[in-house]
Amino acid sequence: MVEWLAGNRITGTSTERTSTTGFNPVAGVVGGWKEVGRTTLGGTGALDVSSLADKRYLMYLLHKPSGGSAIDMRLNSDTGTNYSRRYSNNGTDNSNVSQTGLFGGNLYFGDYNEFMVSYVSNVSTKEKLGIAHLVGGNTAGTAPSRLEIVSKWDNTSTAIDRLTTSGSGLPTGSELVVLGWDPADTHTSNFWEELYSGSGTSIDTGVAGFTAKKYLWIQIYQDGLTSATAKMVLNGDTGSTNALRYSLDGATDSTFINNSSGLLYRSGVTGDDEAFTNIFMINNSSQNKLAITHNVVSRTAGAGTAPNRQEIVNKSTVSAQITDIQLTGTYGSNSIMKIWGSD
Amino acid sequence: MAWAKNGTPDTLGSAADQLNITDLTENKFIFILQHTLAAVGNTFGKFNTGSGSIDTGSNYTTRRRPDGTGEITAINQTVCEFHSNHLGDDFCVGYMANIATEEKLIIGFEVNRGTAGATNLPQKQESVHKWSNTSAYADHLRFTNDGVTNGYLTDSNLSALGSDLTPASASSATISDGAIFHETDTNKSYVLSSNTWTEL
Repeated sequence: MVEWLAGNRITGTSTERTSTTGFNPVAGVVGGWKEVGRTTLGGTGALDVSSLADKRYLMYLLHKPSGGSAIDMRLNSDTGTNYSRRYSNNGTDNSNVSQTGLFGGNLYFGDYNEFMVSYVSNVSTKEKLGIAHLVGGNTAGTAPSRLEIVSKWDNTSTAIDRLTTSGSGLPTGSELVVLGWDPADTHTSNFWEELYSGSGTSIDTGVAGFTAKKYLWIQIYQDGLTSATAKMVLNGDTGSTNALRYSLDGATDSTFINNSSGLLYRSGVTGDDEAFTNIFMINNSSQNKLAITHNVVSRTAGAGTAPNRQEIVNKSTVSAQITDIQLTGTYGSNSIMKIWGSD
Repeated sequence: MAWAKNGTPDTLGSAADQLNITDLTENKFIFILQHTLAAVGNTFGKFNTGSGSIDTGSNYTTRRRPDGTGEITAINQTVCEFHSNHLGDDFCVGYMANIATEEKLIIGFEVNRGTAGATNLPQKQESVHKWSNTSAYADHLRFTNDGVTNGYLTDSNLSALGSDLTPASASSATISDGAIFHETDTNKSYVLSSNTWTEL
């Protein structure tokens, strides 16, 4: 793969260099997640993103900085009983049919910060299927809450062109960002910008190592971490500033509060092994940082041992926007961390 | 580097039982989108990957939790069950670590339509998987249905994004005399002058 570096330098293979007389610049890659709509509240109200382009897949980011108003999410302004869902609330499963919104009216845990990431399939002639994960900040000094929902909207006549929250009580600063992706896309826009890529046995972005962004997407492959917990130090803070809730292999949720030495993104896997982590984080200044985290841990090498899985939600009280992440512990040279972000 | 389309998405022109991507380029992380459309009968979403071709050996292992009821594990499998024996359309999202010399680890989420209409519940599954290969990066992805014949209807889709693709802004850069090209496979460097590379 050809890589362009600063100072008029290029790296690549011999085949890539000699594929034409001189050098043929690489073809531009296309088709990342593209922002197709956004609403940010300037006062109390509802979030409404309309005139969405017709994309086969949607991804949306929903952030409520505070506020005790229960909300739901409606598609194309449909307020009929045309939705159903199955969900897990802090590990307890439940379901509802014939609802008036994707979330059955209870996307709400209390008067605090909440952050959701969701994907939706969007073929006009098919029911629209959604997968969503939410972290609720919960009251100060307590563990965050987690919610995972799958839902459907039974409309089979039109593509989604509008997302609207119910009610009118969302506070200033609430935001809904809608991204689209389609197999036919040829655009060169990309919502997610790479902020950092590091590898090896000591992964540390350094102080102000990446640009501050409101939304962060982090992926980590960790090669043979020797401890049973994995932590990342945010902005150099090692105080008791972290709380989390997690489930390991579907077990009853465990919680930690006042956790120190970094944000714990993997826990409870004794004798850790290769692991892969996906994290979405809301990263506003002067607000708790909330993260939705999923892990797979290989355990013993080979196909004869089932991997572990872990679902975590995190809360960090570090105030400033995160621009510095250090992975702690001892791990192998094939470890990688990549960070993408967007405002 | 940026997330961008990786490989050629497979959108079915007629009903079939497989979705394939066979031309992934090397990327450390892969993002998978799978949306299968189904009319009648139950379908499966059995996932395989491979390098050069699909690996159908007993090299996969899975842990999954369907509808929040009970953890299911399966070792030494020939497939990973992203979704199992479900009625109706199915939508899966997957994150995959794809480092050539490491086992490939995958996190998957599924929603299934179930019986049509809002008076019926969707189904869900959270899953993790590994492919035990440690010699090459995956360049093939496949979803297979072995339920009702031709269970994936026209317009079913499998797509992938890669994490390490060159941003469009870089691709439009104009190479100029004095550029230095370092070959990663030969460890040689060349300088460009008047459209000719000269080894340094």
